[in-house]
Amino acid sequence: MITAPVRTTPPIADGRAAPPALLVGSGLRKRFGRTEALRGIDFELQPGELVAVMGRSGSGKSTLLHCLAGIVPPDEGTVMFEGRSVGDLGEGERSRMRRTSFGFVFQFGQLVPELPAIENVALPLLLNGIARSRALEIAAPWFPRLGLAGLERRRPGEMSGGQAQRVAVARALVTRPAVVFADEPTGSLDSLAGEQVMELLTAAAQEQGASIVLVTHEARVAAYAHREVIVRDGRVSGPAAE
Amino acid sequence: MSVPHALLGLLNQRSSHGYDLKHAFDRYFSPEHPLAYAQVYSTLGRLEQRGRVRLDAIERAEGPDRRRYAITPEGADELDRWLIEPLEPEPRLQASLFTKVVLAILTGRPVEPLVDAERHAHLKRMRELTAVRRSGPLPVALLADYALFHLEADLRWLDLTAARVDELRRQVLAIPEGS
Amino acid sequence: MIWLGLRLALAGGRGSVVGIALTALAVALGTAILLFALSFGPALQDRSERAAWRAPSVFLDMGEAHDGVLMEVVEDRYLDEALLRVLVAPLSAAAPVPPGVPRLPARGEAFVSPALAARIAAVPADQLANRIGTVVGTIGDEALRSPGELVAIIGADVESLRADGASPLAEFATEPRDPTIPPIMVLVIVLAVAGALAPVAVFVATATRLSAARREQRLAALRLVGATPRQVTGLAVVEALASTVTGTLVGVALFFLALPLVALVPLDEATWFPEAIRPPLVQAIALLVAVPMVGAVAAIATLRRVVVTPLGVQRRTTPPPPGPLRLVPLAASVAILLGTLTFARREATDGLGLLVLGAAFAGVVGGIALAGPWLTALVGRALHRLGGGPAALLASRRLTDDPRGSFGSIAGVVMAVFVASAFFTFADYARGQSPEITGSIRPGQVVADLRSGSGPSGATLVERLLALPGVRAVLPIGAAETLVEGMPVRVWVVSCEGLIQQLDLASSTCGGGPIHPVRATVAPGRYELMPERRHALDEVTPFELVVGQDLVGGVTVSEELGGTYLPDLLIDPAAFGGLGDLPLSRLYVSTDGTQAVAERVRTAIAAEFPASWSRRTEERVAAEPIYQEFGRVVHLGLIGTLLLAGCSLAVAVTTWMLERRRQFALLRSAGMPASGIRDVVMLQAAAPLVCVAFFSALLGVGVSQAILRLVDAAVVPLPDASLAVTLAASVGGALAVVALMLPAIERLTRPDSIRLE
Repeated sequence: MITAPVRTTPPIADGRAAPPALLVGSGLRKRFGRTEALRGIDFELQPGELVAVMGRSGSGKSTLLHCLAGIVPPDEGTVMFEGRSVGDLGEGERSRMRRTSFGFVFQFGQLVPELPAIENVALPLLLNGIARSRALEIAAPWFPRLGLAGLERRRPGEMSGGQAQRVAVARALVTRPAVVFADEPTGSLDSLAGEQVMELLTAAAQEQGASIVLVTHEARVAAYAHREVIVRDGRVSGPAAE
Repeated sequence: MSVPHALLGLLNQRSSHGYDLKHAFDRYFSPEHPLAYAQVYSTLGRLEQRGRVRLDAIERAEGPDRRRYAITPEGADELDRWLIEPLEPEPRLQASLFTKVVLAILTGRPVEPLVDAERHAHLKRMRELTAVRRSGPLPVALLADYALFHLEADLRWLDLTAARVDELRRQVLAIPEGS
Repeated sequence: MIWLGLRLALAGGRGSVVGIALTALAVALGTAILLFALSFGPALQDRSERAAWRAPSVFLDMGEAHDGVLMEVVEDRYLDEALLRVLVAPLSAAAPVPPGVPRLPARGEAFVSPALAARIAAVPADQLANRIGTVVGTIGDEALRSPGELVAIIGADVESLRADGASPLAEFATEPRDPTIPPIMVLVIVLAVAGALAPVAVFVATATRLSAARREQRLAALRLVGATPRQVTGLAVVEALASTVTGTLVGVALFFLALPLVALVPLDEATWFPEAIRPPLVQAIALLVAVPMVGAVAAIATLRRVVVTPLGVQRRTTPPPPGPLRLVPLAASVAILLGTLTFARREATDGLGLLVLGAAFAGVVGGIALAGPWLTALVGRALHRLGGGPAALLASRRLTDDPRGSFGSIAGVVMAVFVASAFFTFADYARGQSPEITGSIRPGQVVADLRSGSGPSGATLVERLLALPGVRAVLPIGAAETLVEGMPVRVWVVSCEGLIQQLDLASSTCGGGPIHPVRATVAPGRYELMPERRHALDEVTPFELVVGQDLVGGVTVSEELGGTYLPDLLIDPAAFGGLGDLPLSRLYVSTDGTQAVAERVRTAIAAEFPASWSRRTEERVAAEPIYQEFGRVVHLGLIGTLLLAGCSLAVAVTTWMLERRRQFALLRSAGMPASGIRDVVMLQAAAPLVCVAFFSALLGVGVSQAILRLVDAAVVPLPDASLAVTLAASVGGALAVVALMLPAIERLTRPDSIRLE
């Protein structure tokens, strides 16, 4: 049997206590009307870790992502990011937290069609108040790094799905976030394009030391993660982290 | 896996000793499960009987290792035919996973924990294979991909089964004995 | 097929039903506006016909058979309204009878219009009734210009009418003369209607676009399934007809509902009889057929893409930007407009010339619509270069990426601004051309022109007036004419000091001597004064005046006369030994300023001198009230137009945001604050609106100024701040309508409002 070095958790130097978790959700409950989307979920994310959240449609995994990212407040339970409670923050502060500390990659439809690719990538920087020329400077190196050299001025409608998703990855990482939330990032792509995106996403995140919360229903995509969390009917099922 | 045809193909490339054949076979086709020498020689013997290979030379030294084999024209033909002919997709209606699920139902045990445990194990294996795929040369990567796709297929079947477990339970328990 | 088309159109969900409803509403508005426009001519004609009998047109020779009637029309006023007193006296028993009354009133009797009857009943006789007479009946509608008109047909004395020079009529006219509305005004009204319709058209286009994407998909799907291009076109036509036919019918209903209100809008100081506002039947039917057909054609035209390829629009590539060539039609129309006026001015006022001018003006309006996208792209590029945050970036990219779409929604506003700016300039000019007639400068004055060269002495009148409570002073003036060195000069026989005091010319002085030249020089000598005559046939006796050196005084009048009329020569009554037999022709009466007293004064004067007219200082009567009314209508039209255009803009911006709903919701998930959405929406609406509206206003003022300077070389004043205020308020109003959509937009782009899976 081939054994290649496989990390199930990020390396911890012996003798030291485990570092505090970056993002912790405890006892999360969320209800929409009469449907209970989350029924008491605990979740933990370490710095530099890549966790796959898996489950069927309607299992609540997207709601979990919303709660962890501070997009939607849970009905019960807490979310702690870097030791601070997200629920204590106001709407404006949560927005600011999301745009400085988090990055987002969605399955499709996140790029503004009128903006050329480089301006799409620079958008989070602009939202953070960085001057436009400087923001474009910061965005530019992402293109050769993700194999998109020469596509800076193309519109999203003029590139292939894989290229557009890589632009979305660049946009998610351009602010050097602590956590990247990826919701089915390869869902609209064929296997090869999907692989490319996952390779680049994980490599770039690792380089920056960012953690990734990856929501997916595809096992091959989840296999990129250090561990997986299965969500069924609003609960985590089976053994959690190994 | 057709060992005789694999050996024919290797011999088509060049005539070789049994020892070299085994190592080539392992390297290309089965890195994790090396072929036994005995199997190599017995296969070569059968091929020789059927005229697909012939002894090229016998070097006078100790043991059967010193035999060098070469492919015959009939062997080359058979290789051609085998290469072109598509494999029979395996329509087996039998699988260990399925057995476990039905047994769980029959013995009144819950199915979900079984499915979850299988899923975690599959994913763990898939992680390992993914690491292999990303770090190795392309032929190894393709093999790993093959395994990954099959594991994924298993997982998809597992998900489907978990979704239908209630209906399955009803129907399994309704099958009368002796049928 | 029809059933399928309707079913598909309505099954598209709430969005597409809203789109159809909005389109129908816009079509309804447009239809109603057009129906009113078609009714304008007939309404004017009807009004002229009703009032035709007052225009003396069928004369008798004085010496001929005496079967006619004498008529004199006096334009009086009561409070602030026009009061028409028609004095009639039959020449024989077989005299003609005017329409609306059973017989001619006898002396002292009067037939009055219903509105006048109401007024008479409401005030004491000495303020109104005494100058009318005994009311014996009402005048029927067929003889009234408008429902609220104040008209009285008053029986008068034959001799006094004859002395006043009244015209003898054989019969009362029933056909009107040429309409009183000058043709240039007709052109202007036509252009106003066009200017009102443009925003409606834009609204239709915008409302159509709301459901366009869904409709394209629907029809493309049908094509894929195997429908032929003709079938798909048929379905689209059915859908278009559904909304346009509904809209047309609703428009007809709107027309009838709005009729009573529209009948209250005054033109030339008169409202309308609702039954007179009717479009000609043939034209109306043609309109009701044409509107849905135009809608169908428009639907087919926009469908070309889907009919040709079943794939519709898959990949969005950026279409080529509009080029500066788009400015050419605008520049050409302006050139034609100004060129025609420069080189062919005389021809410009007849039919063909007006047509060319009208076409050129319409060309300018259309040229703005054509050049608009290029301007919008320009604004977008400038905005982009200005730098700025994410809102500016998104707005500028939107403008440069789709300038046609961005401009489409503000096109209505822009064209309305252009038309309104031009009209305000025209209106300002027109108002300057028709100076207000005020009799004097001081408040509380009533000035009366007795219009009588001979007749009863004014002395009793003066006494009676002085006896009225509230009357402070009466200054009687005799007007006459004489020749000085062969030139006719106008003379007033009045006390100089009295006049200066009455007119409040504080810095003027009267020199010694009873004769005060104002503009003439008088050498000593013998002069004959002819009292002012009303009619050429009056017999008048000249007065003799011997002017000696010692009699010539002087009067220095300072320049601040304003609108006050002064004669060339003032002569104190003392020079004649008192006014005595010199007939009175003018009176200045100082009152305490109340309306009741002024009307009493008027009534007293009119009772003695029925043909006199009088004016109060407080009355600001423009000679041509039509210009002011028109300005009011333009104001209303502008407000209505801009609200409508604001709705278009709001719908268009909302549509665009809905098309980007996912992108913006995901951006908000990624941390874009809610204020970012607000900034993008408002900036994207405001930037092109403000810039292009400003350009449009400049163009409107510039073109109209150039036209006026060419037509009448007089200096035309630049429009005052009120134009800027109105425009700023209108643009602000349109943006306010857009802002109304913000809560809905914010709700629709909430980060958790879309399914992510």
